[in-house]
Amino acid sequence: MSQRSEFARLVRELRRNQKLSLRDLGTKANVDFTYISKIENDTYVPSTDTIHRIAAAVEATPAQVRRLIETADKRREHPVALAPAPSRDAQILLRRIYSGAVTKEQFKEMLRVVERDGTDARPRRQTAVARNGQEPLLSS
Amino acid sequence: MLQPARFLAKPYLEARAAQTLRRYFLARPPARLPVPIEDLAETLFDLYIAWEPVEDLDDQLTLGGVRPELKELILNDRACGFFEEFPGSENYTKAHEVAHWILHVREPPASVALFDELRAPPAIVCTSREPKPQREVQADICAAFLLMPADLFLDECDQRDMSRWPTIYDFRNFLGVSISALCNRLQNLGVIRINDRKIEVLRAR
Repeated sequence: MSQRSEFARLVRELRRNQKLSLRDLGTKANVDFTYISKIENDTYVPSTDTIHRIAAAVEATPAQVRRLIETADKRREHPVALAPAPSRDAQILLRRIYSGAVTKEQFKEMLRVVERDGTDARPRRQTAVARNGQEPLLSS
Repeated sequence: MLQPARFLAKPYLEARAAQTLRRYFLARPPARLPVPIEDLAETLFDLYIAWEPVEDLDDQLTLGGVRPELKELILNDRACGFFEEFPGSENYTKAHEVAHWILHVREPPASVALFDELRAPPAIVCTSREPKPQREVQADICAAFLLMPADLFLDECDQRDMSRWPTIYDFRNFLGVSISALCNRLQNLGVIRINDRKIEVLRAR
């Protein structure tokens, strides 16, 4: 499982310790609650000003504020490499993989096809073009 | 990662919801309504509430979903308007996703680390489309049991005059459920009967 950054986990821990919901914290810190969710899920790292407002809302100690700022800096230095948004077909495929609908054997087969396409599939496509005179399909 | 779709009887769904609520109220007493479903999700299952934009599915607005491998309960940023327009729908969607977690999610296999660098689309995606697939119906029923457990629900009903629509709408706001879900529960538990918008009270206070 992916690990969230220490900063994201710390924000969530401080909020939970104060028994605040995302909405409660959003209201107290004057930040949209969906933004708080994105911070806790490592999508965004807020500005130092916002960190101070969140820290005040969760009644963080000076040591906790310092930790928040340090871990936020660290998170900025090592941003999560966000992959480009997958295409619709890729999303369907990923959803099926994640839901367990694709067996290990099917997954190996897919890898085998991908690897084959990268090596010896191209000459066969050219053969097909030569045979029927039409453009080859780029995907099957 | 997901349990195969299978028939689950209503008493089973109610029992799973009741078991979940017992565990929650033991951790966070006292047992009373409304059920703070977001806190339940975080306290019992360590789920992360993730507001993010989610693609529509078959041209239907996606309301929420579950991303098991990250223990995320997803709410669609783009459904905020829908949630505002239909009071209770946001809370009910959260309960619906928790129900998926209880009923349909298995422990994520280690192999999901294959895609660690990708934030994959949710494995479970929920829309308001009809007819609903089997898993969606089960999650809806279980969500109603989570937010309106019979014993606490009937206690609350006894303190209200259920013969009036304004009372029922206030009760809906209090519970954080949709009006249709509330009316179904009230009728299923024999509190009232609704006929042509006329309310007949069946249960004496």
